[in-house]
Amino acid sequence: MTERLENLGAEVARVQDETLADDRRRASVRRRLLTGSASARPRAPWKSWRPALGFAAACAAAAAVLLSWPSTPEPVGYRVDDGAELNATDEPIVASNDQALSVTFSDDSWIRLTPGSRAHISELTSVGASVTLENGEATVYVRHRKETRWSVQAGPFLVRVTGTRFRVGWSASSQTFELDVFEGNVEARGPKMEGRIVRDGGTMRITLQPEPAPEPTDLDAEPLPPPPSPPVHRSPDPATHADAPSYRPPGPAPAVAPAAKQLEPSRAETSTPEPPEPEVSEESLTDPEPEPTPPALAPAPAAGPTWEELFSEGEHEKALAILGPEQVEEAIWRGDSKDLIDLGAAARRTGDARAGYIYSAVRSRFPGTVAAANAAFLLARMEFHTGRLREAATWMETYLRERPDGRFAREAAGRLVEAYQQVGDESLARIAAERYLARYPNGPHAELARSVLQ
Amino acid sequence: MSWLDRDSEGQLDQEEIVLDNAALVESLVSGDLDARAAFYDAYGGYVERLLARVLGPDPEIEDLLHDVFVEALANIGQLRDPARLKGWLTRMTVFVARGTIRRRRRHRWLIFLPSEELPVQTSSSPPPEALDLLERVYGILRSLRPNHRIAFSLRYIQGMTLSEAAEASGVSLATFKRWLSGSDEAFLKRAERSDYALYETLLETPRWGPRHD
Repeated sequence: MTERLENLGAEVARVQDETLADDRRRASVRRRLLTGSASARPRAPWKSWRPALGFAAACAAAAAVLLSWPSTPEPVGYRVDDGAELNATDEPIVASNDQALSVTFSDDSWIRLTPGSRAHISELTSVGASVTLENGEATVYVRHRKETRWSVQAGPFLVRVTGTRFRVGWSASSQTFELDVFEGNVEARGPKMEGRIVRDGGTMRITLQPEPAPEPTDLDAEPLPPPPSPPVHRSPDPATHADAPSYRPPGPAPAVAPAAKQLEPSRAETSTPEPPEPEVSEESLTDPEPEPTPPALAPAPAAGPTWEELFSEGEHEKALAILGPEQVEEAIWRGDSKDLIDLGAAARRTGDARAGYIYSAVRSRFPGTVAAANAAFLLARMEFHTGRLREAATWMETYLRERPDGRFAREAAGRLVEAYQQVGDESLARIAAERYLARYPNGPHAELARSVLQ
Repeated sequence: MSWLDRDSEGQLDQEEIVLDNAALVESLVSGDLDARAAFYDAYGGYVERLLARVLGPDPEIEDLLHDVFVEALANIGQLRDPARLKGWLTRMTVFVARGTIRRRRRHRWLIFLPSEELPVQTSSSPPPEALDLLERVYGILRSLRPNHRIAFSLRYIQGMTLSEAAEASGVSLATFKRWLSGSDEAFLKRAERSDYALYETLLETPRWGPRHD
């Protein structure tokens, strides 16, 4: 009988495999898993259950009302970098000029301010927060839930979101608003612009004409006293950060620092004399749904492929060749970690000074990931080859701290011994050598490590 | 292929070329999206097939497939031996399937038309008699106890060995053998009572051919 049942089962499996040949279901789940909806679980519509479910739902709702009455839901809290959880609003959050700053919320949403950016939390509710970006750029990820109300005010522009990932920029000096939506949809409002939906992949760049500076009315008047200054949350000073390695990680080289992009107004925009109210000039406003062509902030060569096309084809060296300063920023904020690592590698191969910047951007955009750790290793390797051994050692330490068992760990540990030895730091070289031998007694740097310890 | 597999710097060791389970698990633990995609691409089809083996034609498979990966990603940090990734995922899949079966049994009083009996839209089109076979076999399996149903599905339909099926079910080999024995008996009894044609064919005429996979 067992054999008969096995044969029956085999036949059932064969028929099932035919029905499973279509991969649309798998593709749909793949999209859900990879677009951040990994916790949401839409159920199949069970129409037949409706009457009974309706009754059960009514009972559940009544019970929920009784149980929850009269308590009110807690507003979300937030942390600035690794600080304590806060519930205060209107406190300035300022990223230092050489380091990005993360703000994580208790509903799993987060904001990452680029170096030099400034923001504050205007409101915290049980279903979200309102954030004001005073100046600079922020990448925002909002975790979608049943009810989510998030907004980001950037100058006079308001971006409303329910669950998405996007980058928003506001330059107070040039009155320029920028928005790149990576996932989901957002609604943007601003001067002369009623709610405009910007979808996944859409971008928007708007520069307002500057308003005339107000004439001073009374030059002799006493200046107003400054308002009491609330506590300011700043990027941790790498030199004093508790979690720093034996010496602080090097900031990216000046040419490659992931600093906030300066959004300078064009000459034509600034030369317009005194408009009655802010004018909106849409330099770039794209939305992928009505227009199938990919959004492009960067002007591509007339006949050649865009950097996005080159990225998708893996032609990172060619992409690098056509990326100007603005476009490289665009690419860095739009590319995924794989693209950026490859772009950085292409930059290294061609001797492009932007390699370090690109790797730094990986660390800034994808903090805590394997890609970020590997970017630290690649930065270390770059520094090592250019003879900046102290900096190389610090990046190696960073990598080893973030990925002690990572696939580059052995090489990082070995290069660390080399770096400390070559700069003549005997004590650190010995520590590194002991660590190396304890972990890799037969590794390629074992002989060097033993010689250091003799 | 992951970017890590590529020799982007020209200096990577041979051991860095292959994205093995250990590296995959490490990347998953760190929340790497590329790793998540690689994980799903490697095992999505297998999990979907396993769910179909246990549950049969079911409108909820897509959601359950999603659930299995959500569970797996949430708990990947607890996987101690990355080499056992597939077995671990198999066990999780069986766990999710069993939970679904039990949930439905608990909620039977709510059901006017069991959800499993709702017509399932299949995109491909096996011959009607083949689909009829599925309906008849799973019609009987749905009436069995969850453990019997799982034992039957893993052993006979998925074609696992006894020890593989026991491990996937999270029970000892002896327990699984007991389940299987119970499932054989229950399946035949139910077939005799509700689908005599299937019962007779199963007993008398070996019309089903050898295993294809």
